Amino acid sequence: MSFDSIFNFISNGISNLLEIIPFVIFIAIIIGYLIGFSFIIYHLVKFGIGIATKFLAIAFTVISIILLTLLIKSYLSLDLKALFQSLFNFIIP
Amino acid sequence: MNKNIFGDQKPYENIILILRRHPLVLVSIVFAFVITGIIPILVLGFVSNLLPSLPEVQDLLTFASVVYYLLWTYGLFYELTDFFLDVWIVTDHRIVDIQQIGLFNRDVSETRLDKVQDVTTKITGYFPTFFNYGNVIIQTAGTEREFEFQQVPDPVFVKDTILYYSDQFRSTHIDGIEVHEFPVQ
Repeated sequence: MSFDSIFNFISNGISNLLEIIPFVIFIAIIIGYLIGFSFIIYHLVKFGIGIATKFLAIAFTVISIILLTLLIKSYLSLDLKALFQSLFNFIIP
Repeated sequence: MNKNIFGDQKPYENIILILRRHPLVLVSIVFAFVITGIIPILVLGFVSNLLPSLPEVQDLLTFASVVYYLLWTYGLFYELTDFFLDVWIVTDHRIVDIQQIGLFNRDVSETRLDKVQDVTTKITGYFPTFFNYGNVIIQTAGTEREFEFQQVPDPVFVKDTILYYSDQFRSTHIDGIEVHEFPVQ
């Protein structure tokens, strides 16, 4: 095994990790948020007394939908390879 | 018959008071979140001046700020849920104390009005004195726990109301005996 092939193997591995890790974090954020969101909505609907708690549940749902849409949109427009390349060029001109 | 306002409401009882903490407590929670909502905007403005103005960097900052505001929103609504689910209910038969501690700890306790022995109000501090809110402590008979309504508006009125309905209950329920006919299906 030559040095070049080892170097290519490592650089490909790092490149794949750069693609996978942000995706895993992104999915974890969405799943975690949806679990927390479900618990809060469940409590507000089941145990809430008065109109204020119903209003709170609706407001939380609307804001969550907007923020999750923004999160997906901003994730899709994220180009991490280009970002790291730009930062690398910025640090070492 | 009353509309069922809370889950365990009996068909023969009337709700006298539904109490939550004073709205000023809610304002202080919201104020703290407004401050923590503004800080990242300032930090992001500062950081984006330091970093190169490349579209990739701007995209990363947008993504980071959306993640931050997602967590911020969750935190805000978590606190609001905690605020709105802490409720104290006084009916013409009993006192119900509902405490929501986080999302997985719900403490519901109640006592009948004839068990009420003495009621104390505590208004301490500048804001509670100025805005007239404080704690109402209800001592019950025997080894039963004491009830504490925390930071409720107009505690003196609450105390007077509890004592009035406690006397009413005692006068209509001699020896605490209460018999109700339940609807036959």
